Amino acid sequence: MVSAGIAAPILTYLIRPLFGGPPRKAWVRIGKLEELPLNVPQRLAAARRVVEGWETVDSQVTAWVARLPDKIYVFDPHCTHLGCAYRWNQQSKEFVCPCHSGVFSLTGKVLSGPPPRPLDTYAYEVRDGFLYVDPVPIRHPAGGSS
Amino acid sequence: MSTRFQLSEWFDERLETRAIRRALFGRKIPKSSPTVEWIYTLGSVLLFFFILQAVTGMMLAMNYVASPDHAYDAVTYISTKAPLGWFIRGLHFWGASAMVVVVGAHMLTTYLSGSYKYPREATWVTGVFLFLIVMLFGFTGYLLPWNQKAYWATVVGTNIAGETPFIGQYILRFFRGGNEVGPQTLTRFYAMHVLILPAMLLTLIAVHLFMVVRQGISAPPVHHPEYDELDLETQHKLADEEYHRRKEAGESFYPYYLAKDVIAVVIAFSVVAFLAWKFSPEIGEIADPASTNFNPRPDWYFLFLFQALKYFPGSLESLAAVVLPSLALLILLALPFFDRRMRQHPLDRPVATAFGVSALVGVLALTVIGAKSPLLNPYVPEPPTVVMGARLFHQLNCAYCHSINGYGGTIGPDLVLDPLKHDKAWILAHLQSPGKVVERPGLRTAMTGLLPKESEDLYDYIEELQGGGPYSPAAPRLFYRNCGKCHTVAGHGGDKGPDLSGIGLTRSVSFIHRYIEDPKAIFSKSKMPAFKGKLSHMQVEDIARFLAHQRTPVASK
Repeated sequence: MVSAGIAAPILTYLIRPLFGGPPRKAWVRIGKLEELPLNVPQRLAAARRVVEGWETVDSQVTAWVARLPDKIYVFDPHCTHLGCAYRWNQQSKEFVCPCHSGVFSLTGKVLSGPPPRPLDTYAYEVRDGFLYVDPVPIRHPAGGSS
Repeated sequence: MSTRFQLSEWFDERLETRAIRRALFGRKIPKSSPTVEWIYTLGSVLLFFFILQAVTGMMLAMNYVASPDHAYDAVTYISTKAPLGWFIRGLHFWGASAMVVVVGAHMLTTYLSGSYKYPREATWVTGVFLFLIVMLFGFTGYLLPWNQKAYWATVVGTNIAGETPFIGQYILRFFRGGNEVGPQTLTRFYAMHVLILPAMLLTLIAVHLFMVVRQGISAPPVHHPEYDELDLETQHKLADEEYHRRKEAGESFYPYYLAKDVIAVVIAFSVVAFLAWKFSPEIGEIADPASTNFNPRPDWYFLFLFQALKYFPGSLESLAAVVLPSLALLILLALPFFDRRMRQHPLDRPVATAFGVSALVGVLALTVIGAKSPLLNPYVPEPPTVVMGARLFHQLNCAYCHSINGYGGTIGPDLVLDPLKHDKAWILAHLQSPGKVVERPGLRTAMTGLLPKESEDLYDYIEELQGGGPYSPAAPRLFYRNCGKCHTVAGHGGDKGPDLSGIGLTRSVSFIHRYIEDPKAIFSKSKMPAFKGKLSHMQVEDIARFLAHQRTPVASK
């Protein structure tokens, strides 16, 4: 009984973070749409204050935004393989991940390397010419594009 | 009667320590060759490294704060200011690597000599868990300096755990204390590193050592082809008899083997102390989750896994990341229970030996290939003064008055979009006491209290924002070769176009960049040729940054 009395609160304390509910929608203004060049993805960042544990920290929301003539892609800036930050290679016109050599197309499709699925995206909205994103990654099925 | 003798008598009378001392120091070690005797010292060296890690770790903890706000500063302080802090951190850092090497060698020799077999199965199992704990120490300790390397290694490492089928996401969140690597991850890792893992390690070391002392160190293997025809029980009996014979013929632990242990420990410490003295671990750049120009690489002992992961595409990822390593661990744990025959000599066990050697060669080869794999991002270190300046900018709330790229206050100029209109002395005076040089209500009394070094850092940051930050050493040559016929800078060059010695006072780097690429797009009557296509984007940027640095006022013609 004593063991259970000790173990129960300890387990709850340890395991509670595992069951955090889905994060609430938090739109962040990340940039002006008309300033984005066509077909050349830009890495945009915006400041945001979030509560993490016991402290409120100034964190940054970053996203890769590709503005195509008919569509806008807002990508989560982490490789879908193991979460490294990828970058855009303007010469080869591909997103390249420096960790395990994952390569993605402009639309987020896996071109080569170990990533299991296309780039994750963020939900976005355009209001008054500004791009707002909700920085919660949305996964897409393997094989397709984002 | 000497004091020492009196004291030992006093303890003996009360605790009967004589039997314990006899068991620890008087025990006999089976006779073996001098080479094998040195292999026997690996366990003691490992124990020494654990003590070294514990002692240096306690010292480091005295100046460490497990918070993203302070962890990096604390480690920088330890490495640069605390008396001999650099050496203590070096000992801890190299001690960790040495521990991985020695634990690997200890396991390998135990495996090759078949010492995990009867009656030492449980000793082997505790040894495998000890190996796992040592690796976990490495993994959790890695995050603590909160630099780029630490941050990204932890992102990848916890994502690997997240690949576990079915429960991966729970494991990931358990380690991270949430969805992202952040303050909660740091405190969790710190608690694991300094409290939970040491407690587990101490307990397991106690059990492991108890079994080693109780059962005796295994004798070096000899050929026994005749064992194959006997049943398991007879094999055990014969092995026991032979072991006791060889043990009786051996030397006692004290003083013979203890002396060898001491020599091995002195050598091991000398190597680690030399490395700590000559090759201090780097402090690196502060962790930046938004950075894209960093090349994440794990520490050398995880490089094999890093490289192996490149060979497993998409859906097979969890196989490489979790299933295979877990399977290898399970095989190691179960080894003494399915390989039960008493053939111990490596040549009597060709399959097991070949498997062990090829696994070792495979891990070494993957480590070397991983270490040599090209870095995709060119390494552009952020100057430390600029990093410090950026932090001061936020701490002093400069954004109340100044904006960066349009975000921030509007009282002062934007530090990216508006060109700097003043020289360095003016800006430094403004940073010290904004109100002294700018006539604005409310600013008159404002004093920042910055140290001179801090003002310089903040100035460097502003320069960086202006794009006047780092330009390559080739930039001036590039300018004079392409633009020097028409333009003058610092008294050199032609006079067809305007003198650019003061261009940085009125134009920002982005403006200069755009102008060089296509002057007519900005000023339709410009006679200057467009350089887009003639110079690469990087070359234009380099020249633009060089020019943004030119702030000598020029008298207008």
